[in-house]
Amino acid sequence: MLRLISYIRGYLTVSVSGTFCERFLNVCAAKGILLWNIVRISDRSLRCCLSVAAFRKLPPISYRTGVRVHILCRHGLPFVIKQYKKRKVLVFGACFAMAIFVVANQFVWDIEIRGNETVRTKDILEALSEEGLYIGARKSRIDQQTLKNRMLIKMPSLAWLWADKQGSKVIVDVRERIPVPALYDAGDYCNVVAKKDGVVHSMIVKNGVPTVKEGDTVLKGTVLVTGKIPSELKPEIRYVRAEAQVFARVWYEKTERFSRLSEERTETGKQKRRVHITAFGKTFPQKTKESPFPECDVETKRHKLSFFGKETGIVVETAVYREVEVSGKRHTAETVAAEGVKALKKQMDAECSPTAELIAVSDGFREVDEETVEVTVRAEYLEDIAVQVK
Amino acid sequence: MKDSRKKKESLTGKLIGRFDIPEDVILDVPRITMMDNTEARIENYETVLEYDGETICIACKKKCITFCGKGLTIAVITDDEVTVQGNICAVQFG
Repeated sequence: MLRLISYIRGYLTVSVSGTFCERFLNVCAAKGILLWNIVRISDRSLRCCLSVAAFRKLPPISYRTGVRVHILCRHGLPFVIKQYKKRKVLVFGACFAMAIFVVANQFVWDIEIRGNETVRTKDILEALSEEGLYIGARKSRIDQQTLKNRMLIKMPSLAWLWADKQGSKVIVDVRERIPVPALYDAGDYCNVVAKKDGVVHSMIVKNGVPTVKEGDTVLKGTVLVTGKIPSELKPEIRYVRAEAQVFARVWYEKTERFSRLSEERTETGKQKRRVHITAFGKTFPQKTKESPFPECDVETKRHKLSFFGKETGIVVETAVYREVEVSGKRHTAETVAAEGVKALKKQMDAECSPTAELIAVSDGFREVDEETVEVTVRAEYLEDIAVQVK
Repeated sequence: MKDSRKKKESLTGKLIGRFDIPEDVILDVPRITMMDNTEARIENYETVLEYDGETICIACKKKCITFCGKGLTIAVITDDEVTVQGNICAVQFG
């Protein structure tokens, strides 16, 4: 603490030389002059620190005690300020930067929409723009409560919205309205049919009469649960909307040919860096599509500048271009087959329903010619094949 | 004169004994606070008699305190307190 106060007020390191250095210390202490970090340098001299105000009181003391006092070093804020007073352009630049920051902080430079799944971000941004929240808008003119009320009237698909100002960035948090389930007429009926070929494994029938049982083989389009319920007591048929979950074992088979030749990219070690600064909606220097090397890989990093945790709206984008050499490489059939199996498995996962469970998988490959490998993957899934059809 | 001073001191001693008052408050004896053997704070001192890197001699009202050691420095000196820092090996009272 003492150090901090001394730094703010400014202090000096002085050398005291003379025969009676101890006497000098005693007289200073008696006069109430605070000395610290007193180090003996030689028999006739010592070094100590004292405040600027105390230094002004020294001449009579040094005269009385017969010592000579020399300033060795000046420390502290007053001396730093004095040093920078001469460098007017630097001070002006710092003030100018601060002024730009303060002015820029009054505007919105970035809008982030969070929480939307079905409503498009573009639509929300357009609506916000019409209500006065756009990039470049003044922050003080945005009233969050009014914006919320107007936006909820404008976009019925939103149940809640709040714009949170964080520095020059506005984070708009939205919650979408859950749609009301459709109402069906009493006479409206439908069946549940199979959407894929398979063997029925288990059934959960919520409404309707099942027409197949566990272990039956069904083809695509086969009625699994009917919505027509005949009554034993009355002659007329009751129509309902059949609803069921029918889990069946479904087989998938995929065959595809893969080339054994592939291009390999090897880094040469040469790299170039380009830095772009995006501020006020513009990029400096302007981006060019030309790459510095004929063949290269690009790695881009975006860094949003923030000041005391608040975003400034300035984005620094660093692109590192690494030169590569492209060469053809011939892989073994096994390697190509392993890669092929992975690719085909991915395709199958995309085709079956997300809740499907993989039961078994088998694969094989054959070499068609010297450059091509044919890979076959067979997989068995347990998945819900029920779909409602009128 | 000597007798009256002796009487006064004995009276003060009696008072201290009776009321449990710290001695350094009533009598002007030096109060030394040491932190390990690296720092010593001396209150109620009079003057610094001798000062170099190996010996610091401080005069108090009745006694002279000498700090012996290596790399001794006076960290702070004010009118009623002096702080000695360094590797203190011995403290002598003379």
